[in-house]
Amino acid sequence: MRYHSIDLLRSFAIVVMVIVHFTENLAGYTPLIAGLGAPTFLFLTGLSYRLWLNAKQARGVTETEIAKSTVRRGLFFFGLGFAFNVLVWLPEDTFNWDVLTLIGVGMITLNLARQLPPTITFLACLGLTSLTPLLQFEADWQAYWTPGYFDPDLTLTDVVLGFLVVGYFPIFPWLAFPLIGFLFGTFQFAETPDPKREDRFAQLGWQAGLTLMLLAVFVVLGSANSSGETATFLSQSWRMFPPGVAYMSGTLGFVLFAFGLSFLFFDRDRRDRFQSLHRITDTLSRHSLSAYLLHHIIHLYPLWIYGSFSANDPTAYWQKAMSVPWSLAAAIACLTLMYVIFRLMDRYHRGGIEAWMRWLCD
Amino acid sequence: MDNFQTTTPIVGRDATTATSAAPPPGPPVPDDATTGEIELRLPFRQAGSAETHRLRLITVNPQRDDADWLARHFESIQAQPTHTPNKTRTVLLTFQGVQILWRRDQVIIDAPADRVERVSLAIIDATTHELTLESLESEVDSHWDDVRSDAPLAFEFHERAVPRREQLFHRFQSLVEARVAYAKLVPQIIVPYVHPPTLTSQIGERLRERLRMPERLELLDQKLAAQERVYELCSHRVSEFMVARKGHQLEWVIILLLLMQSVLLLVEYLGTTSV
Repeated sequence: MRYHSIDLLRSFAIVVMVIVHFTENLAGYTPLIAGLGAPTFLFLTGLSYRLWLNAKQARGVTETEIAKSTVRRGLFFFGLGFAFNVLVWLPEDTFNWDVLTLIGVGMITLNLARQLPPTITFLACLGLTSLTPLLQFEADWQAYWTPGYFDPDLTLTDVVLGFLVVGYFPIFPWLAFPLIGFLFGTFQFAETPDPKREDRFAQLGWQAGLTLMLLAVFVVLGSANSSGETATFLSQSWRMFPPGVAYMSGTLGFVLFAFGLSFLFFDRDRRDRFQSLHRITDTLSRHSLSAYLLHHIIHLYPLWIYGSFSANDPTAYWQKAMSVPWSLAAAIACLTLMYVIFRLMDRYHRGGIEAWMRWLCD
Repeated sequence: MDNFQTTTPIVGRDATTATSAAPPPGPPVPDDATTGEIELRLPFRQAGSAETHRLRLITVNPQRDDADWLARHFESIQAQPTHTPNKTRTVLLTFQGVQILWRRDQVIIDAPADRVERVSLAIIDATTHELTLESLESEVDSHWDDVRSDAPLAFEFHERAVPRREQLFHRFQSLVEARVAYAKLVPQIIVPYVHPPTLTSQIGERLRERLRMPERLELLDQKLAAQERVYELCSHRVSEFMVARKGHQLEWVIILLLLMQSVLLLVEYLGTTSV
């Protein structure tokens, strides 16, 4: 069974991601919506894993088979993450710890989390988020980042620190998102479908989300009314790299809020009034991994190739290839092109990278 | 040998269930018949069923020309196909100058006036037992789907099943209630024949026999035992799991704290060694 709310949110994450990456990498402009895509995507990874798990358990698949399949998927993502870094971001960025490697680690952690009481998973999430500011301070996060991007040395120390705390998507605190998604899914979706329970938790979700978003607003506003180190700490709390307290709270709140409301609105829409929208989101959602890889190739490869030939430096035009409106237009064109490709793939029964993953891991 | 017969297979419940919704019309009762209605309070009733059961008692004076009218009516019921919706379990008892046409909701007693009271009491007694047994059978049979879905938990309990504990507890409790009702019912059905036989003792014995109550009790016992086995194992698994779970949670909290401390130390160390 497909949930329209999940498809919708995942499609939203893809659209945000494409727009942000195009405008950032081609025009050097970071739009306001930046920072909403990754948390949504990661939260949905955990939530979808719960649904996948429920389906497997309902079919009577053994625990060993589920564990094997999950770990294989985790390793697939981890390996794909490295391949992606080398082939798309070029070899010097092999260890930048992008979102795919985090999803890989997340899958393997979810395999452990599914066997633990929810209390422990919740405590782990608290630990992941609360320890992060201290770890960022201990690791001297600023030293690894030149303005705008992660720039480590190829040493074991930097690789390990990048993986743990200072990379793009280190496990502290980003691992908390798939775990919270999984936890929320565990509470909302019982082994046997229970609409009342699902609705109750959807309502709880949007209410909790609203509370977290308000908390983030208060933290940001609090920075204006405080002074000294407290003001510095609070003013830095709304940023994605490194993720601050307000950012974590606000984005998690946004995902819970958006998921809860869209679940109640779209998945409980008995008249099915939004079929056209669902067709689009269903397509994008099912090919989300392909979309992630494809949009990078579409906008970065021409940039690297043109830079190599015209300026003898692949990154010569990075962030200065075109103006913001043109990069936005290119993003929309890319989304349209990807949608057409995915529809054609569906029509001719051609699987993308998702089908390879299932073939290899399930 | 008594000249009475029963109609549909007694063990099957479908005919009874069908008739409880729409009782079939009785035989044309003579004008001089006395009709009374009593409410039976059953010692056990199926969840969701009515608290009391209404039984119509019709007494007829036997001093009439047409003495076989009940037997004819009984034969007409017998002639109906088994699947007729309003065909119900009907028993005709004829002995010692008394004719009784028994049905779960209506009894016609064709007996001399001096015997009517004794016959009525015996009939009420036997009907109460029959209805209690019927309720128990329905209750136990209604649990099979639950038993099937709970059976895996008798082998292994897991984290996701924790919210189902309350449900299991209620099912176990209702099973215990059914077993208690069964235990109380058995000595009232499995009783030695009274010697020398009396009219009332014979009515009870014959009705129990014709409704196959002893055999049904035996079947019920086996069904109860099968369900008890599942829920007994479930209760063991649940308590074992919950005890172990508390210990595991504490262990995991310690592991988490140690992991966090290790990460903190590692990052602190790597931070100082980094160039």
